[in-house]
Amino acid sequence: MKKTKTSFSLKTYIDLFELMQKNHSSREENRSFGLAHQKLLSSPVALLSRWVEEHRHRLSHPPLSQTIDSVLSTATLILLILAFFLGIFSGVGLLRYSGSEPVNLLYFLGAVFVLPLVTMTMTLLAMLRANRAESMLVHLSPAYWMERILLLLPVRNRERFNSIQINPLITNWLVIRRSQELALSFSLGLFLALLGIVASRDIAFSWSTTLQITPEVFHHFLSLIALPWKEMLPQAVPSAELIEQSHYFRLGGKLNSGMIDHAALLGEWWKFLAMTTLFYALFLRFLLFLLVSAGLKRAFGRAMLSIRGVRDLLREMEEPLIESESAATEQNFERDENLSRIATAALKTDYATVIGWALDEAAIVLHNEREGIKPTNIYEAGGLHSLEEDQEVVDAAAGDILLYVKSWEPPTMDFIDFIMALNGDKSRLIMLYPLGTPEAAYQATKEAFDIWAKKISGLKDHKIRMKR
Amino acid sequence: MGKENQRIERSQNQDEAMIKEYPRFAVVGHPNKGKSSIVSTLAHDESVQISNTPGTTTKQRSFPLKIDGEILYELYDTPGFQRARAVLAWLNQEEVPADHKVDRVRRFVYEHREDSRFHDEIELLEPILEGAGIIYVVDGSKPYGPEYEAEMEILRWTGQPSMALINLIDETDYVDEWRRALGHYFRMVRIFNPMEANFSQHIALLESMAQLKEEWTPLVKRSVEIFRRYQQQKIHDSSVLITELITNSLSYIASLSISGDKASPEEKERVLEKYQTHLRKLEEETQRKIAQVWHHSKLEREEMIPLFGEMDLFSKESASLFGLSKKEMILTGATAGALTGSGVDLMLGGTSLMMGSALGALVGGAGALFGFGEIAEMKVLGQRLGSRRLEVGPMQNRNFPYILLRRILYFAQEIATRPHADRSKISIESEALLETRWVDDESKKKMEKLHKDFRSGDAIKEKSFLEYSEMTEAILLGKIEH
Repeated sequence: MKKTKTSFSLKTYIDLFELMQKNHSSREENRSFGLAHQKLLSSPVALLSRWVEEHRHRLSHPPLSQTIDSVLSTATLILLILAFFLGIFSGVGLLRYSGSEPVNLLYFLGAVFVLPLVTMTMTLLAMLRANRAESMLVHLSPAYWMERILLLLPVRNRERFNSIQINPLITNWLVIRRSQELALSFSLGLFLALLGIVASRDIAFSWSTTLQITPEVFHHFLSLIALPWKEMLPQAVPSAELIEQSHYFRLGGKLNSGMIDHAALLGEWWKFLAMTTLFYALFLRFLLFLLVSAGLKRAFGRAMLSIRGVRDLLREMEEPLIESESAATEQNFERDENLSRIATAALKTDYATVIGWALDEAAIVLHNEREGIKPTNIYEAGGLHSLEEDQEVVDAAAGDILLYVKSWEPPTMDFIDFIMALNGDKSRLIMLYPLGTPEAAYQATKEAFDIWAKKISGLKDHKIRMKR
Repeated sequence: MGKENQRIERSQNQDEAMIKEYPRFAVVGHPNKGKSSIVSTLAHDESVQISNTPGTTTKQRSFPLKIDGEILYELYDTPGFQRARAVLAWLNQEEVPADHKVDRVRRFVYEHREDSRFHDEIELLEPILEGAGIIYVVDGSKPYGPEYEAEMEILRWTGQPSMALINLIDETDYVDEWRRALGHYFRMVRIFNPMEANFSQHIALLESMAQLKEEWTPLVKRSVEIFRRYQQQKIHDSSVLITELITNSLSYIASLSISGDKASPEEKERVLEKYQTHLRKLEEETQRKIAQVWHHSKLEREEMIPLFGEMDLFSKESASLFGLSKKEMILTGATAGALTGSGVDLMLGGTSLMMGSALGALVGGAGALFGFGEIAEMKVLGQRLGSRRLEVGPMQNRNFPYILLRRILYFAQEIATRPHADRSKISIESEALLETRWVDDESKKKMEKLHKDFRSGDAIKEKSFLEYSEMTEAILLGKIEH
């Protein structure tokens, strides 16, 4: 068995969707597949993924999934590059230093701390509501609009694409993950812009706000932000002195002398900003990305299971194949015979011979009395009698014959042999009388009569008649 | 003569080589006594031809019970005896000690293999000579006759383990006289009506068959277990199909691209028709699949009351059926006031417009009708952006899933309890659908919650699906066992 590599991707989902639409594999094939992959039976999604891998060749080439995947990958790459450069330009813009006024680090802090926290909170909320068909939070994401790119698909593929209904769960999770990728790319741009500017220019950072915030409060706030790396990198935690020194009042017009005296100190802010970017905008975002990826993987699993026909397929793979039917088909043997051709007639009272087939003499006498028949000879045949005894009856029978039979016992070839022998080449009339059961007052049911009539009609002998 | 004996011996050796390790049972008897019906019911096979015309079965046909290809036992349907007295006469031509009687039968088969007169006897004797146990079938609703004795005597000559089955084709009862006669030839006599046999009777018969030969007991007992498991599996499969029907029906949204800002009456009618047709199709498809699960694909069905036809979801009968008052049901719908009280809430392009009364009779409280512009775009990838679509669904009527569930459970119950020999049309009595108390209060409460989830339009959680499926399985199991 090949080593199992489970693939949870849009490609697998689309391939599975397409395969299910044209799946004609038999129950036997599906069970064989299940038995060949028993280790995967406990993991339906992995089993399905493997099934897709082994049946992908049935799809037309190139597979639609490949086209969609390729378009989405290209679109994602373009957006990632755009987000990256947007991050760089935003970083450069936020850290723009004229030389006369210090850079207000609050703007940058907003982009690398507040914005990530807000968007990550929104992401978490969107994740909670991702299984909803219409999730407004998801649709707020710019990544959602990447769907438009699908409009660029060639018409030939779009027709095929329209036949695929992608589970909203997947589209929601795809948008959420794509948003995280874009946010990571944007944050990376910001981070590199910070490093680049710090490396190439000497920037004086300050903080300025209209709000009545004292340096002590601000210090406390920043210490909270820097809590994750406080012990590991104390130099990346702004000191109370630095905060006080870099408090900037716009009404002062220019850099004050205190600031100029501590110019080297003001430059120390970059470490804090870099660590904030690294931790909040990149590290936490990356963790969220991993979480979202896990969610997407789970969503793929759930969505794959919800594709029409998939449950049947899994059931056929998992459940033992129990068969109790015959492999051979039976030919329809019934003939539509024309019963009207059977000669029927009323009974006479003067039959020379009366024979009871599998009936004893007492029964024959009873029926004769019932019908007012006074025969010359009465014979028993069939039943417990031997074939030799039957032959003796055939030899002894004279004149027209009344033959009683049990209507509920269908005529066997044993009886046919007898009646043919009885008829022989003699031109006498044989009247067949199918009797009913005592409960039915000896009246044969129509069904039983028809069975006899069918059989007798097959003999094609007009001298054999049946009593209606 | 010496060469002849060698040939027969070779044939005998071949037969012995063919004696397989698993038990085999040949269902034999007089023509038209229900052999095929018994095989059809025991093998759960609807392909067996069953006819009132004697001689429908012309060839032996095997029905192996297999689990993943491994045969546990094999049943044979055979033609009926046609010239039993002639066969017995041939057997009796020579004096044979008891331990060689089977050889004499074998010799008969060997010598008459090409004799068309004994075609049926050869067909029925072959599996017996290859080691199959004998299940001799008679009709206990008709009087016993001496013509059966030649058949039973021939079977006794084979020396194979045997049992007799009294099949009651009609209502009259000659069982006692049959028992007296059969008791002379068979150690075990059982009554089995393949047209009415339920699962327990099937299992009881298998357990009797297990006693025919000691070596067969473990495998037949295992088969009994397999059948129990198979039954369980089929109930489970049916409940999954039922749950799929409920979830798919409740969450279904029919959509139609519309040309203008508002939908025209024709467009509304078209989307409603599409919605109803789809739900009907889902129901029919589920019925077909359930019939397949129970191996009743060929069974003819009488038309059920159409899903959106005469069944008024707000009728008094429906209300009492589900314990919901009319008022409650109206309130639970999106809106009230339609002719049938159906709740149809129409919103077109964000503009709410009540169309309940006009469309209620059509949809029968089927659900809410929404027309989405941009927002519906979210659900279908690849939908042209900016176009307007008119959508119906998901189903908002609280009563609908119960009606649908009751209908499909009734169908499943009918199918599951129907022996395969019974080929009459399935007819569904509308009164039966109005049976009360088919679901207990606690389940109803859980179902209500799950119905709400299913119709929310959100992706259906596996847990909810399983919970619902378990509930339907329990109901179906109760119905079948009852």
